[in-house]
Amino acid sequence: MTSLSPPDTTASPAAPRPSSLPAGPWVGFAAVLALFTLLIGIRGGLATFLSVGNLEVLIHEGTIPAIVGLGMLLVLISGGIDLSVGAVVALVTVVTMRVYTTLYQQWGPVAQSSLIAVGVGVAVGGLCGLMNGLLVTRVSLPPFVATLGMFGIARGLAVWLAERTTLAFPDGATPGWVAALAKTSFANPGLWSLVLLALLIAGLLHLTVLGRHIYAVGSNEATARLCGVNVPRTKVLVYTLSGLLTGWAGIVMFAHSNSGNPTLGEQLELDVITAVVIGGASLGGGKGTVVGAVLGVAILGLIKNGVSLFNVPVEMQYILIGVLLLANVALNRWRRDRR
Amino acid sequence: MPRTVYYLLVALCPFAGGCGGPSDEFTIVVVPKGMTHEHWQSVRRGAERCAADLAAEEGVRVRVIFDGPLRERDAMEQIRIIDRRVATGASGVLLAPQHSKTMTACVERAAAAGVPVVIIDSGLADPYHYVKYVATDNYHGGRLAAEHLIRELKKQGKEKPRLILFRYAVGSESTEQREKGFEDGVKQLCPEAEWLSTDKYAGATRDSAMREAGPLVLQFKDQVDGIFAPNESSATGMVDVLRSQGLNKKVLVMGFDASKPLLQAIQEGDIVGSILQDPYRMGYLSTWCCVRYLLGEDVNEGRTQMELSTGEVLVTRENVTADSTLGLFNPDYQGRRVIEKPRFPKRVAGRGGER
Repeated sequence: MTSLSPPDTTASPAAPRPSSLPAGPWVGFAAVLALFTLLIGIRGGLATFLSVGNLEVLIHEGTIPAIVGLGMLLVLISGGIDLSVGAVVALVTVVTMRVYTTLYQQWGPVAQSSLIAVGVGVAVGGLCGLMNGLLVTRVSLPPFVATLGMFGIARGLAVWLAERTTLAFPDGATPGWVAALAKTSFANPGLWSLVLLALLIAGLLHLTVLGRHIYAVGSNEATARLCGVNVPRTKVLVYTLSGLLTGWAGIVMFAHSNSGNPTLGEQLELDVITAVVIGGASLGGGKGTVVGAVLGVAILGLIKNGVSLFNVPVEMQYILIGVLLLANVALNRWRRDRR
Repeated sequence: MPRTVYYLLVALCPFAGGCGGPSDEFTIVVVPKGMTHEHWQSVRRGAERCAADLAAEEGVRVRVIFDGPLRERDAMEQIRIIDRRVATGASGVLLAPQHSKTMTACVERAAAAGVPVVIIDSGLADPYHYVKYVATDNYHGGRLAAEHLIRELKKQGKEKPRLILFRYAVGSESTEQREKGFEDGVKQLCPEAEWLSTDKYAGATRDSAMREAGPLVLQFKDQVDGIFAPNESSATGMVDVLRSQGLNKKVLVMGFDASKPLLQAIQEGDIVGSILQDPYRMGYLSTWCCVRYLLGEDVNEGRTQMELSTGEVLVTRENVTADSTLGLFNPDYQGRRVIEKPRFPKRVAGRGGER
């Protein structure tokens, strides 16, 4: 597949892949790209679709789901699921805006206000993740239930803290870094943070013991435990990491939306799970790669972008994404069973 | 896999029909607050009609793209759409901002990229980066509502009416203007009026309006004479509650905006009147201003005339079926209207450009 394919885990060796076929996500990506190139080519406007400007838009819009996707990837590999990410992103934007506004009113436009607000925002994300992890391990709740609960709590807290409205910056108090993060450009620091985080997570998964443990826990939890893997500790770490990544995505969202808005990130969790699964991760755990997850986000972004530029009714994007998800997973099944 | 690609292709083939026509001079993107509400469809028809008129009268080809968030009140998606359209070659943008403050940054980015933005429907907090604000004068609409309600109450001999102002939502600029206009109008016309309640909020939907209106009506049902509800959902929700308690026609309700149920309630006399906006004209005039700006004209007199009002119309039982009323929302009647177009001088260098 790629240089980032998962190493054989201590617990159960990953099933060898049929090397005669190109990997699923790449095929999906190429297919979607070819499809829209063809369709938009027929209609005219290909120059727009394949322009540098549009590439910048695609990458810009993909940054947030990709960062959340990295966290979701860790959780899915470990055999869990995290339904709370969308709500946590909203909570982070609200908390960040609250903290920033309070500090701004006391200290004025100083860098410390921004730094503390961002720090608190990311920490809130991490805390939610930690809570998820503890609920899954200490209370032995199924991840679906634990994170569904967190989903409600975070969304409710966000609405409450925002007093049911959208929080905007005080007049003239928008810090420069927010404008920089919101600008559609290859020089966007949010994009580069994504590149860095993707490399770090790939390194974590493939070069460290923790990474091997995550794959092991997801492949076969009982075997992993027998082999001496500290399963609860691994899981708590996974959810916390995912929470921190979601927290950082919340900061990027805060900048993109120029607000603290408790309604942000609705259905983000489903988008991200779809993307990561299209990218080859399995809800059964033990499978998935960073490249796949990022490609999955790119495929979804491409569909949304193509549908939008093609002036197709918006409904079409949901149908296309659904079809693609089913086709992709069915294909993976079929290839595995054929062996 | 090739088979999957094939199926996907087949699935999309119906959309590949209409081939690209001749290249357009200007592409104007209309970004409403949501896609579903009838209000925005009228805006869209107005914009398309303006494009047709421009092509017929002056040979200026304008392509109108209607692109908004699927869900009403999705500010993030609006920001995405603006950035996306600006990056992919829009000549101008008409934006109905979801939020007066959070949408400022993307308007600034569009202006920096040389794409003029005309704000429609609701205000934007930052006045420096758009070229025109085309909207209903909501404050004036609120005053009209006050005039009519007070007049009707006085007809019934109620010189000291007891009123309820049933507000819409915190932070919604347009409805707050209506509420303020109504309050000021009442204070001026009938200073002896008594306010029973001015601090209840209907919320976004008819359901939420009913939930809030229920206890309010129960509390004041023996005292209240007149109620103002500043938008469609709050008015219909209030009327639903009054009907269920048998108080319709006894308590006079003044609404704002229109929908089928609301117009029906006016015909039946459950609502004494409503102030209607003219979204068709809004779409028409905003497109007109945007294109005139692109043609190098000074649409705001060197940034001194930023606002253009599209008019507010009092609709009562008497005129609810008149052609002029139907022309506000009915597509057939809209198509027959002739919209008067403002004329602008050529832009002088250093004057009227976006900053």
